[in-house]
Formats: sequence, structure tokens, C-alpha cells
Amino acid sequence: MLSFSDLYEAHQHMVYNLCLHYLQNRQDAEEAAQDIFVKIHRKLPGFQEKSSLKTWIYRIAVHHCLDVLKARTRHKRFAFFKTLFSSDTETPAPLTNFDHPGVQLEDREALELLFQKINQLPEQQKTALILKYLDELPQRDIAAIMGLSEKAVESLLQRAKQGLKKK
Amino acid sequence: MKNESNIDLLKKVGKTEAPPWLFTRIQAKLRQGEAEQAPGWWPWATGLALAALLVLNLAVWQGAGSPSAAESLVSSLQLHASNQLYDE
Repeated sequence: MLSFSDLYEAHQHMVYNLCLHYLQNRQDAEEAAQDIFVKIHRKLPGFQEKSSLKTWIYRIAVHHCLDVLKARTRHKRFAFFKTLFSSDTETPAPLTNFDHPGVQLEDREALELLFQKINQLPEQQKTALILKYLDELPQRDIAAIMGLSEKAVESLLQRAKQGLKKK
Repeated sequence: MKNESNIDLLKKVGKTEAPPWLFTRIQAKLRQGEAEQAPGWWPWATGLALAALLVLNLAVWQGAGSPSAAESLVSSLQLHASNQLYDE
């Protein structure tokens, strides 16, 4: 059985990069990666090897990132209602700033815009797109992570592309 | 066409390395989690306290219907806390 430190050594960059792709902010990604490894540590004794370790870690990481995004949306809504009922006329500062260390300065503007569009996609389409085009995983692996058939993943990718075209 | 170039743009997103201090922070979170975890006897003690409270409540509730010993004595001796001199 792999020790936790060995597991961390083998998967730290994968988890951190996935968090960056979802959250597009260095600080949020670091926080999320920490929480994901804490969850992995807690769940590791119950890992039944029904899927590969990498797939299992990916599932935990994807779910956690989606939860963080949901919490971020809730926070945004709450902030909106707060502005409605407060007499303060100042507009609230954006909750997250685009800060992806993997993006070069010359591509920043275009990629920030693209990530904004990706953020508006439904959860499953977003996940399929990130795993395919940013993590460069084969469709078979994406299907295993998402618990779907390869055809369903293909369909999600098509819809994601169409969604990006519309926006 | 524009969409295709958009998707291709994602290829420009490079891979980055996780910060070296991340593991230290994870270990600190794990230690913190262990310290915050309730000891094993905690659920038993809570259960026992709740059961005792329930028994006490039942005893009080059942006792409320029947008269106390002092009330029985007062009624048997026909002692009335009243200013009336005659039973009318």
C-alpha cells in the first residue's frame, strides 16, 4: 500500500494544476489542493481499488473544485443581496482575480476571457472540457472519472464547444 | 472557426508545479483535524446524559399527576387554607 507522502509526491502537481484550471486563482488553488489532500488522507483507508488510484484522486479533486465554485456562487449571490439592502453605494470588489501562473502575460487577456466563458458552462460540460483540453486526458479516462460512457463524454464536449461558440 | 481557435488557445496554458510548502500545510491541517476530533468516549457520555435527562423528565411528568404526601395529609385532616369558618 502506497504511503500518503508517496501518494502526495506522485500526484501533487496533477491536483494543483486541476485546481488552477477550475478556480483560476493561485491562492484559491493552493487552499483547495490542501483540502483535497486532507480528504484523500481521510478516505485512503477505504479506497477499494475499484478504479485506479489516479481516477479516484481525480474524482475527489473534481468534486471538491465544483463545491468550491458552488460556494463562490452562493457568496456572490449573498453579496448581491447585501448591496440591495445596504445604504453603501460602493460596488463590491470582485471575489476572485484571474491569477493563473500557467498563463503567459501575452495570452492573459484572451485566456481570461475564454476562462470566463468556460466558467459559465454547466458543471459536467466544464469538467469534460477541462479534463480533455487542459489536463489532456484520453476520453476513456475522462469517462472513468466522470462515471459516464465515452459517448456521453463526446456529447458533453460537443455541447461545451457549442456553448462556447454561443457565448 | 473562431471557436476552434479559442479551444486551441487552451494549449497555451502551461503546467505549473505545486508550491514546495504545500505538504507542510497539509500536515498541519491533518494535525489540527486530529486535535479537533472528539475523544472516543464523547458520544457515550452524551448518550448517557441525554438518557438520564429523559428518565428525569419522565419521573417529573408522572409525579405531576398524583398528589404529594403533604397534599394527601391536608385533605385527610380536612385542613383548608381558607378564611371560611363553616363548610357551606
